[in-house]
Amino acid sequence: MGFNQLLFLWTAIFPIAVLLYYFFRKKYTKQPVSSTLFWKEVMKETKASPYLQHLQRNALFYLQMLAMLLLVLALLQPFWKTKALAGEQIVFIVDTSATMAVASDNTTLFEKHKKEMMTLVDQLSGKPLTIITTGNQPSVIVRQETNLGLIKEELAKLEISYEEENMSKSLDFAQSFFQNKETSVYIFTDQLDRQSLPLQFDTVSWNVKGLTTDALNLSIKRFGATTTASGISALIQVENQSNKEQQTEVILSNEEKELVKKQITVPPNETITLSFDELKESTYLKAFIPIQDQYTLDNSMTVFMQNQLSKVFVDNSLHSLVRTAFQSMDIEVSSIQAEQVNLLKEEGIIVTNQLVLDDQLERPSLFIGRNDQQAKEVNGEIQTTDHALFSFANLSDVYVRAVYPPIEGYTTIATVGEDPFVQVSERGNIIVLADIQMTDWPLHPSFPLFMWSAKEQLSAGNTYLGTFSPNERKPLSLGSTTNEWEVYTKDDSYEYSIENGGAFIAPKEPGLYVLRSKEEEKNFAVALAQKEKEIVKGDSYEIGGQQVDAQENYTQYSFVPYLLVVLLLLFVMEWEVQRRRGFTN
Amino acid sequence: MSTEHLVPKDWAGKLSRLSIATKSKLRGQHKGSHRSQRFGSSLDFSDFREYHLGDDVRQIDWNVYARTDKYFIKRFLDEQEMRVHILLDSTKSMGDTVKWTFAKQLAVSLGLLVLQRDDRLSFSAVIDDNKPVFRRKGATYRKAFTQTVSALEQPTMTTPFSESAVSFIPKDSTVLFVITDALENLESWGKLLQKLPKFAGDIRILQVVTREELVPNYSGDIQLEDVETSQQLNVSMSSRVIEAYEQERVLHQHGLELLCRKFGVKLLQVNAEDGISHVLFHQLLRANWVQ
Repeated sequence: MGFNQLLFLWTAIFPIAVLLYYFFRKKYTKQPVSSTLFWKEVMKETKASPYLQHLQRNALFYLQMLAMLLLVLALLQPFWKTKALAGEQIVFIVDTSATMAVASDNTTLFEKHKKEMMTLVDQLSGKPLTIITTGNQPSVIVRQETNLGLIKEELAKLEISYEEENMSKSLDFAQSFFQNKETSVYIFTDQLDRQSLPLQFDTVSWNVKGLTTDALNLSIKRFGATTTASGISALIQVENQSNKEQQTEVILSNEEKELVKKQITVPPNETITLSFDELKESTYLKAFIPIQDQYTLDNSMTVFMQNQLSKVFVDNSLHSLVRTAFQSMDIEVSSIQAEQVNLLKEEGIIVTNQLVLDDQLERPSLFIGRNDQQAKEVNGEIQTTDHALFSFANLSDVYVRAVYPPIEGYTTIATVGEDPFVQVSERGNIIVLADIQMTDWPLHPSFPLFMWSAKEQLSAGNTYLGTFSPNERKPLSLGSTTNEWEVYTKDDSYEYSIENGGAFIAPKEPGLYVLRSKEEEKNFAVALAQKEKEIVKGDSYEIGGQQVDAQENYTQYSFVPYLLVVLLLLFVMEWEVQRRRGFTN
Repeated sequence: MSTEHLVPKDWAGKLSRLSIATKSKLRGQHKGSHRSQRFGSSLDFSDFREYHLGDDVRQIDWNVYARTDKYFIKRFLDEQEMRVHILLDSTKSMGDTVKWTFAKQLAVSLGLLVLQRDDRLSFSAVIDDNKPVFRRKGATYRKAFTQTVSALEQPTMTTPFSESAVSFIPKDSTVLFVITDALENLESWGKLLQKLPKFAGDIRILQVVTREELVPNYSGDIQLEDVETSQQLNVSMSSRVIEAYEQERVLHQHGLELLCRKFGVKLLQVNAEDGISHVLFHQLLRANWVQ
């Protein structure tokens, strides 16, 4: 407790003066009466409770003294010192990565941090708070907020996002809030090196809250499986991240039953690799280590036995702009010699102009132009039908000089004037009946989009979409006419839906998911990033900025308003006492 | 204090209509203007009675004897004087100016009533020094009496009235007027009232009070001083205390009335602020103390 205006202590003279006045005043005015006979009797009765009587008689005096003393106290402007967070503003950087789910003291580290945040928030004392969560895209939960209720509400809503930590991104992001103000940054994470903090700010003090306890963790580092002639071969890496030898089992199972079970012993801080051969044919394989460690997310891992067609092989006789189009969409592209197209061993989508290979190729392909016919001049606008290929690519402005003759039995989905321009076969082949050189198509944004749509379309027969990291955003042309997809977990519980061709966002929790529309069903997996499988013991430490004064860790909490309320009450009481006693006139 | 100041002008003239009313049989030895129960020597005829040996032969009605041949004695009504004593409480508690003046006015008025009827009046103020008791008969002494009362000094007596009163009362009064404020406890009053009937047939107490005593309007912290006993009492006035006082006073009054009734004493409370003429011509008349 302290006082702001100690100078006003001189006003204590007033209550003292009143006290003295009460001491030296003529207490009773003399009044001769004929007889005190009756008065004596009256006083006899009232003397029954002398203490109460005294209080009653002097109530006015006590009330006055109390009121005056409180007034003096109020003038001194007293305040409580409450502990407060240092700095003009506070920034919380909250790690929401998967590793925060590590168990620590009967709860997760994340929940522990949340509790700590709640207590810290109580010490804000009106300073603005910014909360940033980590992830691929650091996001601001509250910005320069002072409303405690709102902050707490938002804090309570925080959840682990299972994304990669990307602490450096968040730190860079947080710097935009410093603005040369004295800032206290609290980082709630598991482990963060001092070196990674941007310590060049004078006005910023850093408080890192890490995982301070040793964590026992056994992790499936890698798990892969391939189909061979004799069944499935699988490879598992199990890492022991603790300082003790750990014993556990490795269980491999498919969608129906357990396939293999094997006892393993992992030496401290080492990784062992196991391989299994001749496993039964399955859609997917799941590896699991049934160990009660502190981080359970990395104790199981699933692989689908289907490969996603992610690679595109472009015939090098095609114009190089085709290749560039795929590359611009971040699709892996390889060039292959025109003669080797039919000899290709790797799985992938082939883009070529050798229509003769149509039947020889294993899977549907994209043909651009044909090398067996001559093109003829055409003139007209491009008309497209309602086909998934064109949902992103609008071809209406493309100029086409010449087209090749159409292929019989193929469905025409785009025409130039009267002549077919794009055709699809029943098998799934897509053919563009013109060379790129014959059009101005590469000048249009629809060109790479069409290429990407074609690639997605060609891989559509595949029911496996691939493995995503948590919350990963990825544009996928899922190829449904309704463009409405719903995401379910493998246990058939509904997660969310993607509507109107919205970008695909992977669920945040690791596991197997099914993407469903009315006609189709596709599987995909969400897996932790490799970095999130490592639990490292961190540290809690503070690095103070030079200009953040430690003395300012207290704020004054004035209670003058409360005094005033009490005073008002006293005045009312005084008035009432005076009123009951009767005003002297 | 002069006579004029004590009672209004022409007061004696106004009072001439009134006389003391009493049913008391006790009369004085001397002849007066009040009819006696006994047979006497007034001019008013009463009855006849047969002569018995020992009767005064001068009282035989010879006319009756002539007619009846029997001796009859002719008897007349007797007229006797009334002996009235006025006792004035002169303790300090009566010292309040209004109260004291009023008490003296009362004494004078009552005295005049007595004297103008040619009755015997005795008057004594209960005071420390033994002044001779005023004892006169006849209208002649009206002025003298008025002067005696007017000359009374401010009371200084501090011994309680109830203790000292008895020694000031002569015996065999027809009517005894006691002018007092009765501000003593009931116990001592009880003792006094017990003794009083010995002295007179008709005892009347005029209790003089002031408005201040009835409804005190003090406020704040007050040190009350009893003028008689010099006792001091600190009282913080509040409406509650005033209420309690009122209760006590009424209680006392009731007690006093009960005591008076017990000993056949008449009690009348008169307020000093009401004025002497109001009290005399209204209150006393209505109470049938005067007629």
